[in-house]
Amino acid sequence: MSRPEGETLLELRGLRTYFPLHSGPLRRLSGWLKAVDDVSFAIRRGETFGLVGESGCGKTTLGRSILRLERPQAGEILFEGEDILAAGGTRLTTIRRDIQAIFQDTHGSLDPRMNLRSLIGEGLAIQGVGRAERDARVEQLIEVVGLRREHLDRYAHEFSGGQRQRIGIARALATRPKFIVADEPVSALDLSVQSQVLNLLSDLQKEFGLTYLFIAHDLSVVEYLSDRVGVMYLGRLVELASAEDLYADPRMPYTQALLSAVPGSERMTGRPRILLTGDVPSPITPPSGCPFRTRCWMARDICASARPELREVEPNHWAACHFADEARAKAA
Amino acid sequence: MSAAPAEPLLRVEDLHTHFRARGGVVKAVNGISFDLAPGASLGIVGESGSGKSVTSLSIMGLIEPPGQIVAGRVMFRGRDIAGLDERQIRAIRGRHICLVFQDPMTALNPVYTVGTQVIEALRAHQALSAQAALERTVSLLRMVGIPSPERRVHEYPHRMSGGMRQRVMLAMALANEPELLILDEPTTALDVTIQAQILDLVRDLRQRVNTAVLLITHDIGVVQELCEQVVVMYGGRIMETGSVTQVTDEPKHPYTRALLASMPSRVRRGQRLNTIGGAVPNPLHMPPGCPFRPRCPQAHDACATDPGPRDPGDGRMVACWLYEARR
Repeated sequence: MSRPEGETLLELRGLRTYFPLHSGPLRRLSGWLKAVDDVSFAIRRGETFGLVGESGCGKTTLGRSILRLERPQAGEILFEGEDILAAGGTRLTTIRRDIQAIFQDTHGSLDPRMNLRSLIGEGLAIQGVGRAERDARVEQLIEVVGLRREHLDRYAHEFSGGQRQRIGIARALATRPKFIVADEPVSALDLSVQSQVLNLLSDLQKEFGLTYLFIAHDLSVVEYLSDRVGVMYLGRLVELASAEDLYADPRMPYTQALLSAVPGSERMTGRPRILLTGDVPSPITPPSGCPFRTRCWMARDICASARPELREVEPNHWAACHFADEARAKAA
Repeated sequence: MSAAPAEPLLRVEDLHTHFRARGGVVKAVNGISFDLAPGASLGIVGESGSGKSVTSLSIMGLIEPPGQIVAGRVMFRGRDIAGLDERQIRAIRGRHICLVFQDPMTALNPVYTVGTQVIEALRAHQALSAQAALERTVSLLRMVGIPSPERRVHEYPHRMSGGMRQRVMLAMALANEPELLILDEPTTALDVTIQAQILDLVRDLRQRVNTAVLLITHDIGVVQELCEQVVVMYGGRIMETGSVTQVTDEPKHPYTRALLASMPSRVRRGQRLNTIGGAVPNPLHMPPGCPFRPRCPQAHDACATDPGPRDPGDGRMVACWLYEARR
């Protein structure tokens, strides 16, 4: 499925999504939480772009910015060449049809008062699709995601977690989207059910030519599903490569530590574990220079004074580290 | 010391823990048995509803109505602790058996400093002066890797990160040097780099205080990191037990095989993941015989009766008719 030189479907340019912080009795603006801080990358048509990182790294905010659920402070999000942040009117309606979402929490994202027919057809109703056409589409979709037509008159709470995730997927597919932001779609599921949903996502991608932004903290799930993978740390994109290259030859020390921390990874990859000391710093007061320098075993003076930009360390392999070449020698 | 085989520290014998529910009885733990030797480590792995957490709560005497241990024994150091009253079990819990839960935020009391809580755990079982208890607490916090423990001892739990709180829980659990430490999903709520720190800490502490570990988790990778032996549970029963290497390298039970084959880390990109058809059966209507039967690709008529533990000839136990009973 991977198309290494495929055409760009969605591109982020210098995206910054900040949250204002208020303090004191007058709730004065006292600073900014830079959840997404100057992130740029492109997602190609038909690929699965995996986005990994630990809690607070900004991966969810990045996804929500694309869905226009957050309002970025600066930057552009180009979808098929047009900035969706500047879009309005009919263009916005089309974008809402083309970009859909699948979330982790099906309890929170599926209205308990709507039956499956209304849940799955809701997007179509908003788009103004007539009743008959809507019903036909919903009946087709329920089978596409592996549920049955007789389920359509039932409610989400009557289904198991895996089935609810299928309902969420049918809902996302209703408007025939081109691009889906999937934020931790399988992390609440048991292993045996998780694999069913992952297979379904692969099948649907082939069948409908979908492009995924797959956001997850589970590194093995991301490796399995993604064509290319981006790693975020404290709001910044710190490494980007094909899944093969990133997992075989991580060049940013943080990525190396992250991959080595996966339980059982020493046995599987033969690479020694890198134990990081301390916690992720607060995103409110991130370190100067490289955000990872406070936990990095390779950090030197330059890491505090100069922020390493994402640079191409190998063809199509980008890393934000002053010492990406040394980091490789160290890991080998 | 005689040459006789060491008596297990913990022996769970045909344990049945049931919950009365609307519409019937949920047999959450339905006849399980296993041993844990002093200083050894055993992982219980299973998906939701397998009964793994109810097993740990049963051992700790924390089953409350409508739940009840209806049959079986929990032998700890040769004594059945399943039938003890609350006062008797309290003398064991926190002193000889300690439990660390998944979520340290709810396990720690938000209105007391972490120091106060560790001191309370210490003084509940040991006669210590206030000064001695404080000193011991600081050294415990240092042992679990909390930086500047003299200062952090006076902090409240909400001021600490998830990883730090889990370190405090471990300090509390180890305060009285228990013979058995039960870890119930200890790292599930943590990020992967913090999880690696905590698992490393538990390994290190085990060597220093020689406590036995019973680890409850859904993550086979975590079992591989910490344990020598593993029990695989499904539908309230044990499907397979053996050494971690045996079970993960060459699973025998069809359930274990299917479970491992559905792990993305074990499959190459582009290949399809194995799936287990259907879902875990309704706990109110568990099928008779093997609970995995309705989803098992190799099920046959015999499976309607319980296969019981069977030895495939390499020292492990598999509850499946595919293997001949020996001995």
